[in-house]
Amino acid sequence: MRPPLAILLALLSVWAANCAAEPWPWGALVIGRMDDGPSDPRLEKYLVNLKRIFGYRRYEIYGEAWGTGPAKGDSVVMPTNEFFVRLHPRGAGERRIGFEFLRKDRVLVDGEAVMPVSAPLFITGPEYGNGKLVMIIEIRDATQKGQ
Amino acid sequence: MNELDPNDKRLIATEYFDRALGQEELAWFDENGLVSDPVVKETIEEAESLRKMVRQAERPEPPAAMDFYWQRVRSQIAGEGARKGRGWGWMRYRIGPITPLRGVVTALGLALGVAILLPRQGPLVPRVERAESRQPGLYTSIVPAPAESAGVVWITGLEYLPEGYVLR
Repeated sequence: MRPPLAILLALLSVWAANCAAEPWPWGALVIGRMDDGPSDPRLEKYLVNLKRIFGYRRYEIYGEAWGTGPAKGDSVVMPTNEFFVRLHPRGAGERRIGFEFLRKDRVLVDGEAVMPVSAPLFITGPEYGNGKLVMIIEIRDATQKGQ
Repeated sequence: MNELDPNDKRLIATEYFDRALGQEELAWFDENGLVSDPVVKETIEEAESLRKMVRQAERPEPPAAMDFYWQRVRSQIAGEGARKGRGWGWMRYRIGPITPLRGVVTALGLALGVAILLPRQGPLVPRVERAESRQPGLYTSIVPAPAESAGVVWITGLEYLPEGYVLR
């Protein structure tokens, strides 16, 4: 094989690897509770921060979902039909994203944030029973979708 | 003509044999009886025997590296080359020790190496730049949490949901 062909194949492979690792929004609606007990293992990486920020002892996932499209485009993250988030990319370069936190068809809050991959955005929801709802939005590698 | 150097005679004899002498030179050659000169005769005989040997020699086989091309030429002539060229035939191409399969494997290895070695951006802190309420009675505040590598939007004034309320 000629060297240029090898280089071309290498570049194609890198490009394919990058495509596979495309950033994709993910979200979960979480209930924080004061009672003791095991938290949802899927929240392991957030637990320390959730406890420190919101103070509840146990966290469980009410619903989780991947966005309807990649982070580079418009996407809706719908862990539940009642509370969900719409995302719109704003500009290139920095991952600047416009977000809307909705309850059914009402926009409760809209805003804008720079959201790097694997750095979550917590949006507090209403109090629920003796706990509280928290919406977690995170940009993840799409390769995690199958996990 | 004995004044001529034997090397000159050989040169002239070679040109005579190759029919490279012009008309005037040929006339001069004949006039001086060079054709019967021993050196010239010897040179012409050598040239004739060399030509004979070359003509009788077997045709040389093409070099081994060209075998593939000769096969292609032969199969094309036989009218079966075009179809055989399809499929996995390209896998037989090789340049020196490098085969297509090795090339692909090497390229994939390189790509994997590059992907692994490329510096990956670690988790950074999200930065909430704006968060505004769109409903009366709702208030929002942005809580920076750089130590937690998280951005927090705190909303107050939301309707309380009793335990068991089903979020559809």
